[in-house]
Amino acid sequence: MPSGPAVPQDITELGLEELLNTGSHLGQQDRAEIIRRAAAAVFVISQEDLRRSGVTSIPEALRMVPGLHVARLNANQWAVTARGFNGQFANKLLVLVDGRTVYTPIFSGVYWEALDLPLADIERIEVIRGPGASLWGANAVNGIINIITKQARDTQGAYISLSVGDEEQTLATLRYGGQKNEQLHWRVFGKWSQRDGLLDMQGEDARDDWTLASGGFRLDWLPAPGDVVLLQGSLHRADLQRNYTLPSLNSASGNETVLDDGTLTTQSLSARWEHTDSPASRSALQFYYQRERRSDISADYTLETLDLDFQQEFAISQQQEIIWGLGFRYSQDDFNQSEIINLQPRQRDYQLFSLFAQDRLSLFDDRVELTLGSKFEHNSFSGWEIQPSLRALWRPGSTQRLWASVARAVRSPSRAEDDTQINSFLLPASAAMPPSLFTVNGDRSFESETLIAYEIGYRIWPRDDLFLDIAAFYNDYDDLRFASVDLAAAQVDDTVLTIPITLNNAERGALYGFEIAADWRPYEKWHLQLAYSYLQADFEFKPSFDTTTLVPAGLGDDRNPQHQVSVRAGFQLAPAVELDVWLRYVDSISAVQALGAAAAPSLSIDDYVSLDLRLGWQPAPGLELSLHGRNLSNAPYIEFLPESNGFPVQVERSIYGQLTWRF
Amino acid sequence: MAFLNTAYQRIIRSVIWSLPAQICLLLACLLLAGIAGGQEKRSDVYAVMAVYTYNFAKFTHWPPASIPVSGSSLNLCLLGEDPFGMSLSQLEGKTVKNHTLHIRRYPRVAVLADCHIVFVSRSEDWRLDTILRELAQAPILTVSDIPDFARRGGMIALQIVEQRVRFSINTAATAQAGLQLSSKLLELAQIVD
Repeated sequence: MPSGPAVPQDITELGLEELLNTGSHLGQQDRAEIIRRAAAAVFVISQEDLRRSGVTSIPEALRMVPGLHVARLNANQWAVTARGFNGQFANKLLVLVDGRTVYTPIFSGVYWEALDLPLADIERIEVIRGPGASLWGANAVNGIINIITKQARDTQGAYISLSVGDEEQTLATLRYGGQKNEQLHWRVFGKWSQRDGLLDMQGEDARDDWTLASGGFRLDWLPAPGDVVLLQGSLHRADLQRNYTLPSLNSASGNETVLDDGTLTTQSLSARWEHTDSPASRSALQFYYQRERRSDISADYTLETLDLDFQQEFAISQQQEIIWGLGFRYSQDDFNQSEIINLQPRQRDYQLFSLFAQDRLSLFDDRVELTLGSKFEHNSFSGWEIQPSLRALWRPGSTQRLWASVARAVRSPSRAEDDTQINSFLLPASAAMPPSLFTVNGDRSFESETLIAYEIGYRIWPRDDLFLDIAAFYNDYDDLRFASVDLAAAQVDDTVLTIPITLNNAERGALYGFEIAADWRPYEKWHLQLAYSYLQADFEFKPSFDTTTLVPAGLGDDRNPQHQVSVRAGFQLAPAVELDVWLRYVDSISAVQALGAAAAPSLSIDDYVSLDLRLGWQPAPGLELSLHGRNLSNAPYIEFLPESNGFPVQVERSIYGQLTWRF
Repeated sequence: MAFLNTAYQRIIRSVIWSLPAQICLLLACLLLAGIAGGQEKRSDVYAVMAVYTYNFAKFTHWPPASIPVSGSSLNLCLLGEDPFGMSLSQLEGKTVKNHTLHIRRYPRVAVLADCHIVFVSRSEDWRLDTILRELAQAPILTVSDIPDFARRGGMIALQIVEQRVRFSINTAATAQAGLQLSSKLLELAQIVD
């Protein structure tokens, strides 16, 4: 991602007098150096990318990242994953907001719909494909997303943003930043959005409308030279209408669709103190508390989490740096009975202790860099986990990098996998069988899923207007989650046969593929960005399992689009007018099958091409008007199918206009 | 979408948004932008700052003890997040008075003893005093675009004045460190005491 414009002559030969007379402007501050120096597959979404892509939510922004598959399940639910295993409960991607995890241990996943921070407050989103468990711990299996918000001093003054459209009916953001003195800056924000539902398979309104309201603050304080304190807090409330398929004896198909009004509220408060007493060392202490409350037909619970982390970095010499850290997390949940998901025991608390250390070594006159590290952690679900990694980066010249890595990561069991009972689906009575209710039951003997990942990558930027990044991987998984029908444990109760499906670790296999990211600025006024992803899967049952009892849901081979392409083109049509074109192609997904698949009609998902357009105009400094069209090509189409108690929904075309004003 | 859903509009849309039409549209956009496009004459601020830093190296005399051998490398160290894009890398391997310029990047922490020039990134503003205290009296030229850098004890501060990059020099700090800056450099600088 080159930053600067093309300069006609070799600027490095300019003398002092010439430099004094060289007109200069602050170009786009890209984050290319983060990518260049990493011995991992990294992609950075900058604030400029967010603004020009016209997205209104974080999962939509992630569609531009190679190696990620983003699919909308319904108006207010997304399935997002890196390098395979996508699904309603996609569980191998860790997501952090300013160092605070938003990955819920209840279902091992992320409530993307509740990730409602103002996009204008985001400095950048760093996306790492591949395991990052040696630093970030369990569940950083296939990828990590680090959302980093702007410092309060970079958001001074007022910011107002208002969008109106057919799907994005009303989105409003208000922000104000101020300062007490040079040492203390703050901002507060409020955000409200109301969005329309998508379409059901008949093309009618699916009525899955949703409304979000959030507010929060950030305070950056420099109490003394060498100390910085950061305080953040946020409140979010999501009112979500969703369709659920519930087992029902009154329905001929055995299942009925119910439109539910649910709420999801989250609150967080975090504090971070960073201290340094020499250029060679710095340490940080971070604390946060967060609470999530979900209340809908599917699940009804409260989860509270306390987290404390300490981290120290120091340079031993010019060639060697060490980072180490300690962490402790305490979580407590409290479930109420719901129609779909019930947990026993209703209340449970769990802890996570972790320790990590990493050594980075520069060799051969800085041409080679080795990073060796490991995380050691103990969690209440699977006990001790050791997750090491070894990475090497080679600099053959100043414009090329070659890197390789091998790493281990685990996905630890969720609370639901341990203790759940899900009323999944009902087979109606037949000549041979009474009505049969299939329930998915958690099992405390369910173990962590494990990964050993082998990665290699190459980057080249032959000129400052061209950047090419290629990464290839072979992920070797073991103990993957699968399910068995436990007919021996079936029970007849009021003429209904209840058949438990139990979770096990019966599957293993490999995912492999590669991703290409290219960034080209043929002229100062054009910017072309390409992402291509290729993914191939190969799974099997472990021979030790009795395959006759496994649910007839198929292996996970086909849950992933094999090819994905994203092309973004940005043009400066006139000094204050921008045009952005974003084309995406997502390959077909042949069988999204899961536990209820036997009862649900089998649907494959066709490939699709999607087109987004944005026209932006800055009539005055600080003021921007833009018109956006989303999914303009061949909508409506479905992107994915929910795996459990679900209701397929089609994505629609939409348009919206946006006004933003900074003063 | 109700207001867009007349049959007529549906037909128009299906023509406009068919895949070949999309590709044509994209190409048309490219062409349009190509016509509208052209070379930008101004340079990126950080590209200019990188070249300034290279020039500072040319006009600075280090005490012989700090660069003993002719032909040894002159280390330009960047402390903090890299704002330069590729412009700093372009200086790698350049020659400064029989020394080869070598760029070292330290985004988080660094032992700076072997550096001849340290460029302090804006990301280090919060700990600038600590950094300058550590480097005080060492024969290391400090350069930064952090506001008030020279007044806070740094040696050469870069700032933007009317879309031009200007620099000011804290002569007390360079003298204390035993660095000699050429008169040409001092003539063009704003001097901070």
